[in-house]
Amino acid sequence: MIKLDNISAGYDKIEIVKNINIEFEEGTITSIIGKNGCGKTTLLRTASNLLKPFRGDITINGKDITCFNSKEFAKKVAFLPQLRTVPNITVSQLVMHGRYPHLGFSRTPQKKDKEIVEKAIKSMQLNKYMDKNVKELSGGQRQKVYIAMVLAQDTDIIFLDEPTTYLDINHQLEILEIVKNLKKMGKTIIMVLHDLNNALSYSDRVCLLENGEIVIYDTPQAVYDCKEIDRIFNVNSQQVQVGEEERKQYVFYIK
Amino acid sequence: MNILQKFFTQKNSGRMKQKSNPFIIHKNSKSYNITVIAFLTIILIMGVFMSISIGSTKIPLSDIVSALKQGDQTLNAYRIIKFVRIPRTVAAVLAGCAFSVSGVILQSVLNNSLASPSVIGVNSGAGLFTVLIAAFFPTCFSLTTIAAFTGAIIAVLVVYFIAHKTGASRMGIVLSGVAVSSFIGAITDTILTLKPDTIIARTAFLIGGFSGITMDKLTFAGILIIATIIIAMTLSYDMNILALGEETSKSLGLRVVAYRFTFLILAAVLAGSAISFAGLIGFVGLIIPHVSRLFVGYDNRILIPVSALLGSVFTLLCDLLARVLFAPYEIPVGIILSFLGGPFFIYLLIKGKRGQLYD
Repeated sequence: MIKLDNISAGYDKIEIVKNINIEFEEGTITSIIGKNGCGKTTLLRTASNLLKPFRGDITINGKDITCFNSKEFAKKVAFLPQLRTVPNITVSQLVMHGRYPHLGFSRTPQKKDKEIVEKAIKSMQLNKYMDKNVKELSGGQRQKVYIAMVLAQDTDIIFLDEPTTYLDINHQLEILEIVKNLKKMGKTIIMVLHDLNNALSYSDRVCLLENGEIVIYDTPQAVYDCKEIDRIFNVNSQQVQVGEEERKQYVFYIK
Repeated sequence: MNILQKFFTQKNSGRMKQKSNPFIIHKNSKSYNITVIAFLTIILIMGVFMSISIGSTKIPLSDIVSALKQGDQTLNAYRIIKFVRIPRTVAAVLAGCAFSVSGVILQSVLNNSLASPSVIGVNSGAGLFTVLIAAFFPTCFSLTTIAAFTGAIIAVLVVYFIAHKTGASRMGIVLSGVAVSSFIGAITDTILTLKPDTIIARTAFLIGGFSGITMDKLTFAGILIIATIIIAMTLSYDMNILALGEETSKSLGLRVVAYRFTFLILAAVLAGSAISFAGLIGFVGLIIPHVSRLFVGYDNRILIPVSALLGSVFTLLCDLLARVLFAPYEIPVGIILSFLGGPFFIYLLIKGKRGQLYD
């Protein structure tokens, strides 16, 4: 379990997120939502130790994250940024990079590392792209490669910054189904999502931010019912049930 | 696909085919990489012998061996080999590999295909110190080698110090490099204006070359270059991780700022060492990494040794041309490097459609 206690953070001494108290439970999917500039990515970067908070404590299973060295921390927490430098290497090489925190001084992958990488590639159904250059892949395929890298990193906690941005609807849903599978593997997923319907449909918990502060952190149904989303985004919302399984979906329209 | 690649690889390669036919070498496989390294090593050895043999006085291979065996200082051939050709050959090999590996490091760490030692202030720093010695300590001209090296390192440290204040981002390093180089350039030009006698030293430094080089001048730089390349090869996997970008590499547990600083220092030591005895022939550092990537891709673990070998071969052959093209007159190697390297680089850009890979 990862816990943020009275966290304030930002850039150049300007507080972007303030007084954040939140616990991300093990084996759950949490989506962080909010308007542009409300501090979603800042919160994610702070929780994943990429940004030093101005004040407050972050603990993983009770242990302060400042007690971990960089490699130890990378064995516990993975972070997938939204904007990335796409390297000129093959899919298998990139996925192998996920094993970096586990490699010894010689940086030579052992049999176990190779098996884990192979498994990660297989689980993302990327076998046929193994020797392909990452630059030659489509946005959706590339996102799957990066998720395979995160899988190879073999952490309990995964932070995803807008994993579905720039993807078509099919790839968006495919990525979210993958996220669901990661949860089934016992991973704790915390992600920033812009698509409110996806956030409410795929998450166990939703954290709604406004001006750097948490407005509500609860189950999707509770977040929907409180109508804070409507107020913050200045929209109307409606819950509908679709398909044979009568899955809950959320429609948002301008007031 | 170029001739060398055609020679080494077969089109439409695949893992299954590799298993079924052990005689086909596939690009980027272990055997392919070993073949490329072996091929370049053979070319380098041939180049070394050619460099020692060919010149205004041609010395056949058999005479080289016998002269070296005898070690008779009264022999003309022995003196030419020991005091002229060998130092010159060693200098070309060292400078070629140092500039090339420096270029690989900078292009990878700064994720900038135009990065070369000049970007981080190496050239301007070395240039300033060379001019300072020529202007204020003309009797100590033998100190130029050490001064150029010191200038290069100081300039890089200043660049990094400024960049560090802004978070040591890749763009921050490039921008502070441009600013510091410009400022140092202004100081150098001021000295050149006030002390016009120093222009000769400045011009010789700008063009670069290996004439009149001695083994004494090479010892310090040579040790540094070899040691630095070994360190760079040891850290080449970390360099691969750093190339993934700041957030991804940090998330993988890499201490980004520390490693970036280390790599910049390694690149500066390599380029500074080479500049100290060869002057500004840094163009090698820009083109050789790109040419090497055409053969072996972007994995720094293989790219560093291949660039080192290819850089040595290219510089050695250019120096050979510089000596024989208008013999008995000699053209500075820097001019040959740019004459050959420029058009060849343009050819590669067009034929290899490199632009697609730098979007």
